[in-house]
Amino acid sequence: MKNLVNGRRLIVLGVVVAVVALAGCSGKQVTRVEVEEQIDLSGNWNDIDSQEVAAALVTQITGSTWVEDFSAENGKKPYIIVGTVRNKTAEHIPTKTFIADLEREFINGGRVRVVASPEEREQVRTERADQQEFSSQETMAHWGREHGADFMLIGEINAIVDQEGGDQVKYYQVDCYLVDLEDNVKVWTGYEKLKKFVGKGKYKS
Amino acid sequence: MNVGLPHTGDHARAGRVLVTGGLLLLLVVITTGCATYSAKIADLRPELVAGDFESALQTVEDETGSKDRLLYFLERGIILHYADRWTESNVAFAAAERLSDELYTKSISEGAFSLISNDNAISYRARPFELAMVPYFRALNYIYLGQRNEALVEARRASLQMSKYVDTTLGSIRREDRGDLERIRNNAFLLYTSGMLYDWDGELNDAFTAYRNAAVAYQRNSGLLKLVPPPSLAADLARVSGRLGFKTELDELRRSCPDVFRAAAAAAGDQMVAWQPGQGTVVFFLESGFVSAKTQIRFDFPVFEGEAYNDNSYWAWQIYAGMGNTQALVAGRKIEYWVSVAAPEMQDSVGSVAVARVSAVPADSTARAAATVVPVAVSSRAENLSRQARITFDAEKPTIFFKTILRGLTKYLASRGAESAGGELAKWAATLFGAVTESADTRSWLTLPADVHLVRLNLPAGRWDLEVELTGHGGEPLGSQTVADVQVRAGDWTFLSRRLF
Repeated sequence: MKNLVNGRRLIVLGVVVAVVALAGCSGKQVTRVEVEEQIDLSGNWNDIDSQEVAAALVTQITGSTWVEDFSAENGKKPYIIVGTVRNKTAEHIPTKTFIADLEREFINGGRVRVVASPEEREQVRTERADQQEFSSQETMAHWGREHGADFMLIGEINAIVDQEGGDQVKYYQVDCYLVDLEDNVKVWTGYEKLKKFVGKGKYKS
Repeated sequence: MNVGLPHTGDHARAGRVLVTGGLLLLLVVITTGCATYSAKIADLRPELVAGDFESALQTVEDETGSKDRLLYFLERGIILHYADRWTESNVAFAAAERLSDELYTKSISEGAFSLISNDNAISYRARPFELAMVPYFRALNYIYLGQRNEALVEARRASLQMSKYVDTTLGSIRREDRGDLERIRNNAFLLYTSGMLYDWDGELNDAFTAYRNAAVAYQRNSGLLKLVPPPSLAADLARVSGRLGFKTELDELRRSCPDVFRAAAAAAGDQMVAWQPGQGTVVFFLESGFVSAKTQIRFDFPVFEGEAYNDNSYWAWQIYAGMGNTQALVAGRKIEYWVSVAAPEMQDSVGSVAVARVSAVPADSTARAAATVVPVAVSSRAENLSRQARITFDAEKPTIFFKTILRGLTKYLASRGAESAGGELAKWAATLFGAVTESADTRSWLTLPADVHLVRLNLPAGRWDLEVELTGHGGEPLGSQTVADVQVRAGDWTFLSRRLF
């Protein structure tokens, strides 16, 4: 009888061990969070980095003297096109999102005007061509009234990663240049930096 | 005859033994499974060879467990790559890399459970040479998708990954066992591939650095890994250093990496060395065979009452001589404990292809008829994953052996403890648990190629058919294949890959 009781104990013990072992297989959990909430999981470039760097760069660009100089000379706000931002890091960074963040900051700031990208212009021109055929004379958009950009913003994202064991320091630098489209003169250059520490414990329970 | 079963003569008690044992067996099957990983997933390789990608994906889906998640993503990534489902392949590989980062932190509970079950209870962490190949496949996926910038990201990652993963693995290996694994920290093939991708993008400084590091790695490790430095590497170094004005650096490399430049000199006059205006270059990767995999060796033998358990050499001797032990059948002897020990063993394999000879003929029939010279290039074994698997396994073997002995001892002590707490019945239940759970960790990325051959051809712009003649290690012809309609643009690079089994 004693053996049987101890045998049961052993089974209970075995079940407990199995439950503990299987505990790591718990199901997926999804929680909705605010879009603005900063969540750093891997330490990689993320949506918050993109927004913060774009905002900081646009503040630098539009806070510089070239805006007033241009407006005083030409009697209008400068027109900007955001060109390419090259990703030269070892991470897959969606640069289109970063470009969209830059454009949004420029537009919301109101100190410069933003011209659509070549792909967007093609789309708009297709629509305009369509209007010539199907829209009324009064409402159709006219050809030859597009605004050419005065300046192009070009940039690149670089990263330096230093690693020791599970710890990593990631340093991002986003360099941007604003180039006069007529004479290739750089009217503004600047950069924004980000530094992150990613620590990983060697053991968990 | 008494061979150690509880000799009560009581049927009810024997019944309890069976019930308890049965329940434990069931528990074990649920939690760990009985077959080794390589046995469970044995269908995968034949399915891939047959080009039956759906079945291969299903096998991976069905046969990988919760502790094999990393292998699930790696196998899925490569199958989808060969199925030309490049976007999905990249999604799987990205998941594998994320999971690998998470697995840096080791679980103590998994480690503890493995001591009373087996190493398969620990989440699989890929070996450095396995994870280092992920950027290679992802870069090819992005190239085929026409996403050059993303392929370049993989080039940058490839340079970093191998050393990062080697460092992580070295951390769990005894210092005295690290030798050759430390030597292969810099992967010559991946560095060279990165260099070519930088070169393609016009990043000549990065390209030169990658080429230089590749040359140093080939010089250092070609013998160890049984590689042949691609002759095109020296040609690329000469061309890029010429463009950058790095004459001193090139001269220094000629002195420090003579094997790399000797390979180029041997191929002088070959089409792969020169790159004339109006030409483009073709980079052709030939992935051959299957990487070396692990199988299980298992020892089961009885320990009889009255034998010297406190003798340190006793267990080792029993393991050595235990296979086929028939002493259990000797009448009148009582079994104290049944020892079950399982350990992985590496089965070395090499790709079937020793060399590939690639001839380029114009794809257009008129141009083909008019062609007077057929450009030809011969492949070099630029990467040897089977050798890397062997070196990694040899470095890990002492640690694996130590853990196997420790696990055997833990199980033995558990059975002694169970006997003290619950008598003979509990002891045999614990022994049964120990024996059934004993299984070697034979997990690895099974569908990786054994080696990768590299062929470089510089061809005039146009469309070309590449005729590939394959030769085996004994010099025997293995047949030929045609890679049809390869587009070559002047001043541009064309990257191609094919898998041969």
